[in-house]
Amino acid sequence: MPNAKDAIDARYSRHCRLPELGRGGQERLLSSRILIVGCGALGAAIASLAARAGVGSLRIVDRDFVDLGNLQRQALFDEDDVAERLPKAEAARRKLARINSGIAIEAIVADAGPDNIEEFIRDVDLVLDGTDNAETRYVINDACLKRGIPWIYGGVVGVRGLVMSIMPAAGPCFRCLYPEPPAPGNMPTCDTLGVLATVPSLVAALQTTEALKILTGATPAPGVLTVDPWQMQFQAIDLKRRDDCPACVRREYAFLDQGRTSRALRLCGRDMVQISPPEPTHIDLEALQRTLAAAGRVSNNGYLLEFMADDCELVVFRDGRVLVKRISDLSVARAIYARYLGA
Amino acid sequence: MKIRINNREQEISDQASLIEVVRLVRSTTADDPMLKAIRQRTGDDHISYLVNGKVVAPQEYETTPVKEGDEVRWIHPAFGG
Repeated sequence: MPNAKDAIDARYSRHCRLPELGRGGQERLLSSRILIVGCGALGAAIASLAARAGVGSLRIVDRDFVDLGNLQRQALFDEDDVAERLPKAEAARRKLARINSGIAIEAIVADAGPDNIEEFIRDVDLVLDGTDNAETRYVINDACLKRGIPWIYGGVVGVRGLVMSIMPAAGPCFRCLYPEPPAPGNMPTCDTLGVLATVPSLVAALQTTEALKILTGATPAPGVLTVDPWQMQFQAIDLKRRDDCPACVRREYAFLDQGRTSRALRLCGRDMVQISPPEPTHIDLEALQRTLAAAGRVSNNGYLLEFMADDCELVVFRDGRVLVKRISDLSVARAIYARYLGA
Repeated sequence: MKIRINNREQEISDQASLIEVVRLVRSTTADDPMLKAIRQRTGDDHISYLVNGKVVAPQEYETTPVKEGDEVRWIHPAFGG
């Protein structure tokens, strides 16, 4: 019977030989706990890399189900998962358990938001961003700053991506880069603009590398890295803390504590969920019509916009309210809202 | 005067403000397929601009001066996953 050290040497020999990690580094990874928020293209790739690298405990939170359109880029999922309509977190857990039975994997099917994020991050060393929308990232930023936990932002769309490690004590933070969230429907998403299959894998590999560094005591990269593999252009960008940053300077957590997030409400007696923006907004329905035309059938009468795709039906009002039809589950409705309106 | 935009030296008019850099970036990226699609669909490219490492809010582009030797960076949007 091999002892624990032999087992580490056998499984993680390539890490143990690395001067940057060594066996000491590997042992630190095995005793680390991380949270992955969102298990789409970014999150699934991160989870796979982190599990193989021997991060000892993974908690994965996702609100969505595996869909055929996910298989083009989302590692870990296959056609059986689509046929079973498995939640992504659970499908990921099953695959990861077969990849590495020596680590703990917890799958949570939930919509990470201000009401539950602090519970999910309470005992982790680090948070990895696998989300597909702006709003959840503002909530993660607030929660991680408040609790003093590092988190690693990764984002993709089209042929490009971004990576940024956020260290709560030193800053800068996500709101130093994006002071205010985009209006719903105003930001391109992977579902409306498309995304090259390799880009999330690349960004996830960079995010996971940053995580392995932080967990083993190495210094994360400063600033923001932008990647454009289509043109093979990579840029390391120095980003300074904003003197007036409400989150990392003033320590006001508007998205976590003050309800600056959208609200989802099941409409009684109808198979429908209404999602309202956090504050009054004005949606340019004509611009949104052009954006959504790539993803389904759209009509716009000047007062409201109706959108039909394979998986859903949306009605968008000028004041930012959105009705998600034929759906009664709030998490699923939010997932659809994020997919097409990017907020 | 000379400034650097995304690590490339560029000549812009003296006494310029950031809005001139924004216009220059818009014209040099007019044929970029991704930015073009985003501009056509949403009416904006959602690019973030940084002057010497600090993000500038869009409402401050016209009033933010750019000086000789300044380092301007622009970052494309990326909120998907």
